Amino acid sequence: MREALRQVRTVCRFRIGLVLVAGTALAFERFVAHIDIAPVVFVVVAAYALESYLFTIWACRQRSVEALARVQCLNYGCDLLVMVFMAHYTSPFSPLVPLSFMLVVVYASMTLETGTSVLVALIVCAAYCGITTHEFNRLVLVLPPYLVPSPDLLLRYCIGTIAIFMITSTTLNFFAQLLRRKTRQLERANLRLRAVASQLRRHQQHLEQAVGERTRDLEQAYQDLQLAHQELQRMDLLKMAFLANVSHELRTPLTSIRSFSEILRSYPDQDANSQREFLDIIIAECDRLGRLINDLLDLSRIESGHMAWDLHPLDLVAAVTGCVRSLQPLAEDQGLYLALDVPESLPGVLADDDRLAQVLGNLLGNSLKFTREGGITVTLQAGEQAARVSVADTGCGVPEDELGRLFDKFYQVSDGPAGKPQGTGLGLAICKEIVEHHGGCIWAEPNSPHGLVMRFELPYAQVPLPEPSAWPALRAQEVSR
Amino acid sequence: MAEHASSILIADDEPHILRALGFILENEGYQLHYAMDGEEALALAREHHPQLAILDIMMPALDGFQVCRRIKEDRDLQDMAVVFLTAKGQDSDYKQALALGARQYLTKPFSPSEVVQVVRSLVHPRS
Repeated sequence: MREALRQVRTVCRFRIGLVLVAGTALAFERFVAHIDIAPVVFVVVAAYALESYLFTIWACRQRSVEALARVQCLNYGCDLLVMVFMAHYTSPFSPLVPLSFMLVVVYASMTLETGTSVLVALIVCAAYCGITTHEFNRLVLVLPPYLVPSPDLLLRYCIGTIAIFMITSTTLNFFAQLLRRKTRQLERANLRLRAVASQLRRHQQHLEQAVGERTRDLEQAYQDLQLAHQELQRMDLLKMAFLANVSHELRTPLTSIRSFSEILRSYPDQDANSQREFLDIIIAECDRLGRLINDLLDLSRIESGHMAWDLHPLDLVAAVTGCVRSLQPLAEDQGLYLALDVPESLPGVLADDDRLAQVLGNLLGNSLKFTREGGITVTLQAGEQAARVSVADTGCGVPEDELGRLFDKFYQVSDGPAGKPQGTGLGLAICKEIVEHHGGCIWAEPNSPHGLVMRFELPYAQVPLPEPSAWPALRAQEVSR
Repeated sequence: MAEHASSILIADDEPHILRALGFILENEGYQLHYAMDGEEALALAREHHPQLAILDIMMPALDGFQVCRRIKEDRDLQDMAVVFLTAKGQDSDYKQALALGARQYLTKPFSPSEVVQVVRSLVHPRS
């Protein structure tokens, strides 16, 4: 529609231009060349300009291309009338006239549909031939006979003009059709391209989104992997440190054993007391090495899950009482008291009695080692969810900042009363593993005014405690947590 | 000038090691000073100016490396020969010991005769 309107305006401008040219030519002829031109010619020219302008406005008001085309036809009709008039008043044989008619044909071919433009061409031909014949007849009456062109010539002229007009019309029509078809094709292709382009854009957005999501997932996975890697590295370092410690701890007693063995061999004539002393040291260090190896194996078995646990419902009161009684003589030898504070009965716990004895033995052993005077008190309390065992001593205790490290492997208190402690450094680590396997927890608190309180909790068994006679029948093998 | 026995400082937190080394070296005629941790070792070194120090590395308070460093930094003690006797046997420890200026690096378990050989090569029983 816009294209059509643009064409209309172009044609209007052309017409105005034509009017100006014609007007100038006429004015030149009238006022400069002093050729007699009737005033009505100027009026017609002016009227034509006005008509063009009005027609253009009317055409621009049209809403559809077909309506526009119809208005254009009417316009061309008016053009033709003006042509006829001009042809009548100027010489029909001047080259301007056929040229103007030709221009009408050209414009009709390019802007109107095929049928209408051919019709217009025909009308133009007819009009032109009509005019030419009419003028010829007029001339015949006016001119002397030897100047009149033959009718034969006229006929050929008319035929020639018709031919030229029709050839022009059809050729231009053909090309105009071609152009229109091409234009429509291009428009369709353009529409398709735009559709494809918008599809591509959608796809691109979709892809970007997907890539973004995938990148985020990968980054997350990478971070997770990094964390896992760091964790693995940390564990590796811990293992290396542990191995280095184990190596050191194993070599130390071995060194003593070897040194004194070689001394005994290299210095055979020592007095009996010295020899005896050295042999005692060798034996003691062998025992120490043995204890260390046992503890290491215990720890390794617990940690790797190969320890055979024998968890069954246990009467904690009886178990604790039994342990304490067995260590009473040792405490008396050292001049320390060993007190027991237990309730009448407690809800039963699921425990391995050998391992429990190991824990109690270890805690009591530590207390005996580090207490010079006073004694040890073992307390059993019934909590809400678990039973709590406390072993409180009046010994040298442990500094506050080292309480957390007590359960580390190979950790030994720095300032023991007997110089370098003879323990393995693994006892409390094993206790921690055992208590935690039972589902409980173990920790240390300072005792007032001095000393240490070791506490651990064991959760109650879900099953009710059976009658004492029924205990042997209730051993649940390998109750795993 | 009266000859007197060369003195040696032994530092180790294991009393049995001190006993074993002490026995061997006293038999060779050296005078011995015993320390059970790094700080005690430094104090004895400053007090008695021994010709040789045999240091364990894993000790409480100051470890063997730190004791060696401080001995070498002290103008009075610089000339003291330092030998490490330790259960730590890794390459990095050996290199660190040499970098600190130790004359020898022995690992546990040790052979008493080997120790005697090393000590004799560094310090004569009579100075």
